Amino acid sequence: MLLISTTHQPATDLGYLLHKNPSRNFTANLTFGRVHVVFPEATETKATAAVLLELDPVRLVRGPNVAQGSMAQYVNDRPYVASSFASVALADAFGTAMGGRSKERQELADTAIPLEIRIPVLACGAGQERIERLFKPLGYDVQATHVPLDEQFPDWGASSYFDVTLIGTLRLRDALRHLYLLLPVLDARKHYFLDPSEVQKLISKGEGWLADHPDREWIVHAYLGRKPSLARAALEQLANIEDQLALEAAAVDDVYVAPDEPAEEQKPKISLHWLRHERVAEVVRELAPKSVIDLGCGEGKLIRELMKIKGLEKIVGMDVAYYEIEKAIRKLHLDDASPRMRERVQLFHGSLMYRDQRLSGFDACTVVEVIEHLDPPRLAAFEQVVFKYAQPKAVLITTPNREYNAVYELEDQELRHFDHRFEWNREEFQTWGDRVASTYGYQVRYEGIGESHADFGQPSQLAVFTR
Amino acid sequence: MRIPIPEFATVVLIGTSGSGKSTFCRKHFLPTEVLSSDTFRGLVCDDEDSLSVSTHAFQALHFMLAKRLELGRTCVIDATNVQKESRAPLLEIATRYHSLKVAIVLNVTQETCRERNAQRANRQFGSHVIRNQHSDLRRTLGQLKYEGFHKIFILKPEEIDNVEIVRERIWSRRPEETGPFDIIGDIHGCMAELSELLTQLGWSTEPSLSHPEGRKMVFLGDLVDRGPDPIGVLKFVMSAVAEEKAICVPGNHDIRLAKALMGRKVGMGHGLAETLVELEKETPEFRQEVAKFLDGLVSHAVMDEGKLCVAHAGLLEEMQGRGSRAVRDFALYGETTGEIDEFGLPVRYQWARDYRGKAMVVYGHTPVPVAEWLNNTIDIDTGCCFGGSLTALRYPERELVSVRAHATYTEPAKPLGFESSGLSSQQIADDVLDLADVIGRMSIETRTAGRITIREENAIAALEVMSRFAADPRWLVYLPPTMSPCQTSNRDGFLEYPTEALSYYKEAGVKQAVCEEKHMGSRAVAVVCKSPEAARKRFGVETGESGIITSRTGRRFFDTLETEQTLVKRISDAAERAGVYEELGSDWLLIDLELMPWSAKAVGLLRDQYAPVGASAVASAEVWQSVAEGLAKRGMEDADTYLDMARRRSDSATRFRDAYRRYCWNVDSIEDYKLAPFHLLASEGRLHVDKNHEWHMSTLGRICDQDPKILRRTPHRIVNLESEEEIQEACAWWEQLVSAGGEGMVVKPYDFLHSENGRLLQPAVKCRGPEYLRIIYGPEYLEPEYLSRLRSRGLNRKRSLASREFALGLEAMERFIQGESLRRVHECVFGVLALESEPVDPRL
Repeated sequence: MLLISTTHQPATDLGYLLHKNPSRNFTANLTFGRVHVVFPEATETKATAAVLLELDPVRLVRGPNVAQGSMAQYVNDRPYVASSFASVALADAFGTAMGGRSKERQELADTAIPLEIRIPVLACGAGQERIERLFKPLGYDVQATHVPLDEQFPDWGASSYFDVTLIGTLRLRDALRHLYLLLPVLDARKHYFLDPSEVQKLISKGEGWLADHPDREWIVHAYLGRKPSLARAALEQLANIEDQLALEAAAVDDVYVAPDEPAEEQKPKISLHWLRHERVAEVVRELAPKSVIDLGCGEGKLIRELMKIKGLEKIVGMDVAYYEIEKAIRKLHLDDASPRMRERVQLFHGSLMYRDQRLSGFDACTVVEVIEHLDPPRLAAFEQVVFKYAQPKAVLITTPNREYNAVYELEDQELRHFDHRFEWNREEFQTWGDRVASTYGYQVRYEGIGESHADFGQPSQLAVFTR
Repeated sequence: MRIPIPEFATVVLIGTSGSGKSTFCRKHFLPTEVLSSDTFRGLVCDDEDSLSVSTHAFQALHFMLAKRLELGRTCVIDATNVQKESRAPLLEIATRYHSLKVAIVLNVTQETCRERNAQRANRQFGSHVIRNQHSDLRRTLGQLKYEGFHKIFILKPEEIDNVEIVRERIWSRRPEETGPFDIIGDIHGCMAELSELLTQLGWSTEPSLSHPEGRKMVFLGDLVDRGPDPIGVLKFVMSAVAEEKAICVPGNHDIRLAKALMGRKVGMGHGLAETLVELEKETPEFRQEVAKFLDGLVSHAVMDEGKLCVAHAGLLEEMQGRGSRAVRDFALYGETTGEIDEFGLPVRYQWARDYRGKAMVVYGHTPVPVAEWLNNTIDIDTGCCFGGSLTALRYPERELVSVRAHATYTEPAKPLGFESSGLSSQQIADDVLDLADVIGRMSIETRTAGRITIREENAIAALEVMSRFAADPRWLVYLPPTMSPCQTSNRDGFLEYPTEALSYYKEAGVKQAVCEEKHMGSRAVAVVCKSPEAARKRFGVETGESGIITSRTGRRFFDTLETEQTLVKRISDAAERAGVYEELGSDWLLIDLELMPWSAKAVGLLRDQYAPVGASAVASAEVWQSVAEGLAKRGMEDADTYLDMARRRSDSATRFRDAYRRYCWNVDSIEDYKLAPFHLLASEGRLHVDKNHEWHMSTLGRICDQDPKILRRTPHRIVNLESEEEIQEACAWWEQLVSAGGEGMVVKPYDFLHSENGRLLQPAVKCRGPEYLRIIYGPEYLEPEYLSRLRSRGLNRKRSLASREFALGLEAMERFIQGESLRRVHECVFGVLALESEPVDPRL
């Protein structure tokens, strides 16, 4: 839903520019519902065209080309927010205007006129600042107010909807094109499948403004979603317009973070992640095992480090998430590796809550940032699976040091990751480790990993059990 | 000539090329029993005569042999087998699967073989081949008896055509013995106790040995040594066996005695010397009779169509009903590796810990303080000769009957109950489950719905959910099934209406239904124990918790143990005050309930989906309204249409918000939680699905009344489905509930379990109110153009899923009640979770 107003005089010329007669209500059927263009206001001094979208929620779930994932819900905000559906409706209702043509008022179409565009419900998870960053450089004055989520339950927090008004003096065709690209960009959920023709849409609708936009990369990536190949193609095309962009396009895959996907770990920990793997691999190297098993291997980042260790004859990874195992197999190219490599590196789906014959007989076992994902009452099962049944000669366990959270300025009870069931301070970890070691006949030593703080120690802690 | 071969055997045919082996096979064996080297040559390379592929062909043949033997199928090897090296792998495989080994030699002259080969186009090899084979064969004839064959038949040319192969019963297989049995543990000469026990079991000796129920005795061996009256015991058992009133398997002491009597050298310790002194007082004929009796005992017995296996020291599944030295040794001595413990006794491996077999195994040999079930096996040697007791197991009743020893006849090397920890053997064995039991495709046998298959992909999903989120499996003895809604209604303004729910049962022949108000919260399962000790004893949980409240997927409902344990205690105390524990003779209860508020668990969903939809719908409706008003002000001709659209949108949006808000409230104290129990599923020894819902409602109602601040009775009514009037009243009742903001109701057959044509009906069908359904189908679902399309929905998948999950849930509880292993209970619970990962419309 969208309201476009002008105070250009005569304001009723807006009808000519949009190719819609203000004295008639316009309705068109679209594949996903209906679009109405009506003029709640049409005087000499001010005219407003309202684009009302009636979206068929049943069709979202049951229609042909059913939407994916969260889109396929009856309880869905799509009918109420400005989104990619609105873009399609705009293109359908105002195709000619968006092309910059006007049968009756071509000169006016080529002229910047005072415009006021209201988007009463704009979904934008990236926040108000992003709305301003996108529209201000295009010459709009931006007013955005939060739509409340539910006044009765303030604990639930704020909504991600904004009532946005854009005021500026622009050609109407430019404003429509801005909306066409930026509504879905801000909303960050597209209702249709992305294919290479999207790149063309982006280039053509972005012509004349996107290449110069300071947030162009963010826009391109958000528009094309998680299709890095498409994003690169688009940036390369834009780069032809501006040489400078060519360099950025090449580097873009490394810096990009999808707008609707929060970075999993906080910034200081990105390097910690690497440090941890490096240290664990180093300890493994010192222990000089012939075989090692990585429990909770995820997509295989530590496995990759362990593979470099000379003399390690067998490296096995296990994870409880089947999806992660598949990903690791892909990332390590195990499917088409040489027979010797496939013999050396093996991955399988399993669980730390069940004893498993396949976990037995290893010289070393690594359990990196795993135990904090277990409910505390289930640690007993983990202990038995590893120490009583699998009985590796050495076990390396890492877990966050809760004390260090103060350095990250986390709240008192706040944990580093939403799926952490607990985080231990150094004393708690060592109490647990000492008990496990004495129960199952291991020796244990502890060390910290990462930058050291005088009071809080190091961000991660490592226990090395040997027998 | 008659050739007897055991019903399960590996038959190795031996004969040169052209000796007539294949013809012999065709005549006497099933085509599928015959593994012919020629056939395997053909299978691996399309050419039966290609000698260059022999290695591959024999590898394939050996593999097939192993697979068939694993399944207990007789195999006949049709190959020359004239060399020791070619027979050795066959014998090794047969030994591995405890198959009896039979050699049949076709001892045909060289001339005959040459003539036959000459007639066959594909056998044109040099004469040296036959010659060499014959010299190998000659050597073979001398060697054969040292190679480990149980039976060897060497057939002369004239005998070959006049052979009759007879399949013989394997002695340990006694499927026709169906009991009932009184199985008696190690007697060790304790005749007085045996007599007392038999009297307790209802046996009488006058006028002759008999039991009024026609029972049979089964003796687990070790009749002699250590105790005061080995001769009495021998006499009694031998005569009972002779009269076919008893079955006896040998113990290691019995076999040692037999060897001693037959003049073999054996150790005299552990009471043998004393037994022999007693036997010296008897006649030589009696001693001979004893030796013959003991020597003739068959190592073990598999009875009652494979449901029961008895052996002195137990038996692995793969050994049952088979014969080999390994089987006999295991049955006599158990699983030992030569290690000796601090008491000088052999270290015994807990074979029963890993036992997975179908047959119940009853055994003795190792004295235990009390007989305990472990994975469907039980050791009933309660050490009578050591001053313990003599125990019998009544089969199939599974009842234990014991009499105390009258004295300590021998001091045990290791005190009885030395390793006792307070948990049961089963609980100790069940410390951690084995992944092998839940990985891959599963097939679960249920009492109520037969075999239920779990697909591998669903098991994969369940493994992740179970591992990452579920509570300790010892607590998870049940997961509730999903519930199907009723068929859609064609009534204006309704998607669901009670008539359809009631008619589902009526059409299935149910006379009476129960309608229960459906509380809108989260489905939960509570295990409630009287005390932490009771929890430890029954569930083996050693954390000091006295119960648990889990979600539908087995996850702990509450983040803090304190909240959970407080609520568990409130329910438990209420049950105590209501006298329910006492009434049911249990110190724990398993309860199905609804936990409110919805927002307690669903806050994420509310924050991320429901509230945003409400907020955006309301905001957008406001703008429609102002646009429509603008049109009206301008006097546009169809302004009314737009005003009407705006009004409807605004109405839907507000009603949607109201709908979800009704089920949300803040929880500041424990009493802000409300629990509405509706099934009292189980308590010690009993599954309460044999009781009707009125019993469940009233028993739980009494518990609720004891703590009304937290526990809520579930309003319900019973409907006679043959009365149109009562159906109308039920509809009116439902309309009242939903117009007051209720979610709706659940309709169930009056009896908890109701079958139609041998299949269980849906245990419950839900019927949800129109306002509630906005939460499911969106704010505007009642708009006629949407509603008409929503009416078509398929319920088959959902119902089939609900049925399978219900059957698995019942099975899990049944197994738990029966004291089966955790693995067997967990398998069913895991199955429910796996089925939940099948794709089904989540709105149903």
